[in-house]
Amino acid sequence: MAFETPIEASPAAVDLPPADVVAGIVAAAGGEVHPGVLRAACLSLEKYFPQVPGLILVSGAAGEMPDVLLEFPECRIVLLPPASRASAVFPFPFHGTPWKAEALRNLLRVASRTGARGCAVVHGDVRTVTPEWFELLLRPVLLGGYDWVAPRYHRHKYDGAITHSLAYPLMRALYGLQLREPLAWEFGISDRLMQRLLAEDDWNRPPIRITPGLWMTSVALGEGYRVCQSFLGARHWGPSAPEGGLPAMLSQIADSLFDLLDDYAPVWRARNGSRPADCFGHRFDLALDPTPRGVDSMLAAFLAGCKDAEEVWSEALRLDTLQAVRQTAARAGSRAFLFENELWTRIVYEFAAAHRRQPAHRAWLLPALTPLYLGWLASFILETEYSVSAEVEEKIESLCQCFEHYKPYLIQVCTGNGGPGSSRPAGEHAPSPSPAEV
Amino acid sequence: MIETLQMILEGVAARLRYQATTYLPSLLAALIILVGAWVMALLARWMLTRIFKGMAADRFLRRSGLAFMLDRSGRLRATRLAAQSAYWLILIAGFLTGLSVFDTDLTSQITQSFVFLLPRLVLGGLILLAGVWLSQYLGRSVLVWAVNEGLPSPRRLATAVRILVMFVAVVVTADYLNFARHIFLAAFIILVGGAVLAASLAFGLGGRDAMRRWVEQRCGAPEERAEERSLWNHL
Repeated sequence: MAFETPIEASPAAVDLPPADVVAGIVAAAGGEVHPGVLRAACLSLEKYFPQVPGLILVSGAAGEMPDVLLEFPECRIVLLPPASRASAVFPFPFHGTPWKAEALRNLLRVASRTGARGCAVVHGDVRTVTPEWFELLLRPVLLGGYDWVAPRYHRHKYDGAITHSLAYPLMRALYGLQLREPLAWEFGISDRLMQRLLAEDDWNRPPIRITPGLWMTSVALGEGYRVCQSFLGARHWGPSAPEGGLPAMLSQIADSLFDLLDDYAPVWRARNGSRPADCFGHRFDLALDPTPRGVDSMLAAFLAGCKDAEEVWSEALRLDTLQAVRQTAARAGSRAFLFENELWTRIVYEFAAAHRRQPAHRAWLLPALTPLYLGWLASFILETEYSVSAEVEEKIESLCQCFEHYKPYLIQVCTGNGGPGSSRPAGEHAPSPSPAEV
Repeated sequence: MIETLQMILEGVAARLRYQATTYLPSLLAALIILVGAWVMALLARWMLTRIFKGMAADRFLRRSGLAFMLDRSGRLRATRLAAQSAYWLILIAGFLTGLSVFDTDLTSQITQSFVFLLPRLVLGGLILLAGVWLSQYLGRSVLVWAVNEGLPSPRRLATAVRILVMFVAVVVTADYLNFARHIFLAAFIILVGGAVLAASLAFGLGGRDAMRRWVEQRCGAPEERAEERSLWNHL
């Protein structure tokens, strides 16, 4: 069955064509889809999955589809309308992407109803999508029996710092699997996991609404689904930062990460160490645009935080951690400036505990993490200024190992021992801070 | 002379006897009631500490941030709060009952006024408490925002916000309790009006260049900001 023009359907439509594989595209906030993404989806289904019935779902698309569709008359495309206005209502303060979770849910609902065994989802505003992306996200599901295929991107060494410094090390320490992109902007998913996700009642919960990819990764890791990752290459997309800038972006990611800690606490408390995730695709190096390194402004923001935000930090950080931050700040600007991995780990864990302990204070507690993050990032950039990718990877690896090493400390602070007033980790499992910090 | 002295002393003794026979039993009764109330208060506090769990109230205290506001360690529990409230309520009730034993105009007036005033005092206290909570919340929000935005003197900004919110809470409480409402209201209008005028003048005269630079730096040309955003990809 082929459509000359894309058909428009609501998620509840009953006469959807059956499909074995689905290539899903989530349109940008304005409803646009980059022509290259559609072309890649059509080409991928034609080239890599010619024997099985395939379907392209475009969720949240508004307006006319690009002319590129005329090149692929055999492609079956279903357009799902954007989320209704009512579902986009969000509470103050929120600067995220409320349309995205709804668009994803519609897409998965329709994909599940078509009987698809696997679905690959990419964003409509990513300019570097190739047909291989869909293949790499679908094949492990169809042939390898995996339920969740996370992406792995080729990034500039300073790109994706929130992922490298916070999301990746924390998720790895929690669940014991080395998934490089837990925020999962693109992903492949099996019908089994799709049904599990669709069974979730409240897709309006903040971590799901703000970072649906992270939540899906947590479900997959926390509930024992088979997980792997595929190396997709470089990812260039449109606007990267949500309204509100870096503090809002970092707060949202941290909020989601810390919120999801509660969902699978018994699971992650029982896991130790980590193992590499199965990885598909070929890793290759290519020249990437250099990323601007405003180290001076980052250091200035860190020092300003040390000068003025201590009052807020003291609500989350323990006395010895705060003292270590002060000592680190005192070295800023000199050659000796180094934001220790141990210190950053303890900061993240203590903020996670404060997030759990003081829900009413999250609105100002999480943005207060920004100057500390900038301090860590400045140190990371200075440390790796002349490093090649492999050396940068080693740095990230040592940070992740530190997160794993301090996991008992996370359990300790999350269970209420060692709040901001205390000065030393208590309990036999708590690793002691290094002499450099205290 | 001696007879006069004897009469005076007898008069005094009679008065003392009269007062002792009139007020001493009442005083003793009041003391017994007070001691009884104190024992009951102790008992109620002891029982509540053991029986009342208050998990939902604990959750409310923790989630609203009141636990951290009232006790810096954040370990304030609803059980302790309920037990202390019951203790003091029973003590106050015992004191008022003890006073009412005297059955004089003054004690009746005191009891009556206290009974009428108590709910208003409690509500006034709650308004003040809400003011303290809001001032802390907004003060810290402004502090963090100002630090992240690189604004000058974030702590002063936060303090100003805290004082303003607390002042509003005090004015509202005074108005509600009908306590020097005109004075508080007038002071509020004068201070806030004066502060706004002073800030406008200071901003107009001294800070416009700094603010223009800051706005230019923040807003910039749209293309430049978009470029910066797409290049500096933290995610």
